[in-house]
Amino acid sequence: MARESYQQQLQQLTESVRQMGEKVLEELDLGLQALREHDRTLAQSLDTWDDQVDEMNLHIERACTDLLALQQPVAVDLRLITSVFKIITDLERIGDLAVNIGEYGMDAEVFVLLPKEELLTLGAMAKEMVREAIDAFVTRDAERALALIHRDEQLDNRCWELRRRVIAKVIDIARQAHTLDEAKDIADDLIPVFWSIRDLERVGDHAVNIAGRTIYLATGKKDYL
Amino acid sequence: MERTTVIQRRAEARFSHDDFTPPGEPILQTRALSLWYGKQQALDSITLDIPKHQITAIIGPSGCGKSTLIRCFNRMNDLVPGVRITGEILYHGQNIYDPNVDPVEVRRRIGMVFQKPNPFPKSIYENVAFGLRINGFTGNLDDLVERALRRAALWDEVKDYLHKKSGYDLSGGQQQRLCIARSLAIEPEVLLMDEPCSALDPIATAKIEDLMLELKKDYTVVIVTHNMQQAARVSDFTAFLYLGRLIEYGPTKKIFENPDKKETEDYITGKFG
Repeated sequence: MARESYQQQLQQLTESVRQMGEKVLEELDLGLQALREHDRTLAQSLDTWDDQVDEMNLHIERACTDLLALQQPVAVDLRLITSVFKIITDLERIGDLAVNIGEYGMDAEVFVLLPKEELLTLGAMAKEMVREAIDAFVTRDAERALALIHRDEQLDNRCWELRRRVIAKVIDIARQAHTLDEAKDIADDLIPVFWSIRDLERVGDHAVNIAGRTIYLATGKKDYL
Repeated sequence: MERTTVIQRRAEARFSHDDFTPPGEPILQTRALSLWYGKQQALDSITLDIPKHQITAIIGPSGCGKSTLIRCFNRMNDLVPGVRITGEILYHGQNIYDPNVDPVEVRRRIGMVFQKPNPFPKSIYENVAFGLRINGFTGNLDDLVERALRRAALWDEVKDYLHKKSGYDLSGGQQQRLCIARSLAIEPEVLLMDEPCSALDPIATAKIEDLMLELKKDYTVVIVTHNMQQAARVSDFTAFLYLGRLIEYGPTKKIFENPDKKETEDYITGKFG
């Protein structure tokens, strides 16, 4: 095969994205663990993980820029590089969300009256979507990526249902408050629950973005960008 | 006649589903064009339309037939001994290989610029005026020479030396633009360019590329290039030839972002060739 060094650099690019994806998955896992166990130390340690993910992001971005400048990629190679540019941004954002999710769990009382297990089930769904997105990208499997995009609706529906139930519960608890200020404080304390639902939904959305780029990479179709 | 029929059938089968027709009016059309140098077949049933006032690039590895194809467009291959051609090339709908067509008239309307600049050992002025003179033009040559040099983006650089300097005194890039001016002086409709920048440095190449983009307002440009970045930069449509066959033809953006054929993708990404 001609241009072997160039082809190796392209393969390395895919491998670097896979490694970044694995790192982000671990970070998400730790974020969910910190949420489950209200582990303040673990939640705080996520910043270090996030720094490493950011570093990987910059490293891959530099590799993409070098390939564009030096190799003038076209066709599937160009689609790979432009897709990687976007995918690493999605992965980096998933990493940021993992940090947030860990931090929401630091306040143990927040989840006492709320269905934490359901939140963790959503977390597992979102994480599985990220896993699927990374695998589909690495194997350039457009069908798998498309299946993932269709699955996002399930996560969105579950998030919506849970949000409705939490709202009902917040109203119920606030009603039992003795004063208006106490009711406001209770509502204020519960806001991180909404944020965690929203952030898990966003993790799924980023996985969908990665899947959309994978379809573009594999087929050239821009329908899911 | 039997052979032509077979070739046409093959061509119809090959292009019946995904044959690309560029939008707008075609100025040149090949129909099941095949060419042999002796027993060696160089082109195999090429069918494509060249749209008017656009730049069409022909790419492909060495020996794929791209120079042979472009040279068919103004009957330059007539001069090669042992050449046999079947199929048709239509210029405004008329077959230029029809026995009644004068090849000199074809070459007047369809000009050509070659890989290596080939100015005459005469003054800059005479280089441009030559074509006009042999075409019997007797009017005011000064105006026509100036217009051709302006169109070739060379006027400002040579206007003070038109009679003092020879075409040979110019740089490679200037010589190539002089050859373009010489072609333009006789007002062709189509300009064929066979690797026009392969002997030029990047600055001279950029000037020729800018010029091509300017020229397409008034002319139709067909360029053969082995520089794929050049094809991507300047052309509107790209045809990929391999082993004498037209593998894929389409808008340049599509060819370089998402070609349909694996052979095209493998070639433009450098996996072979």
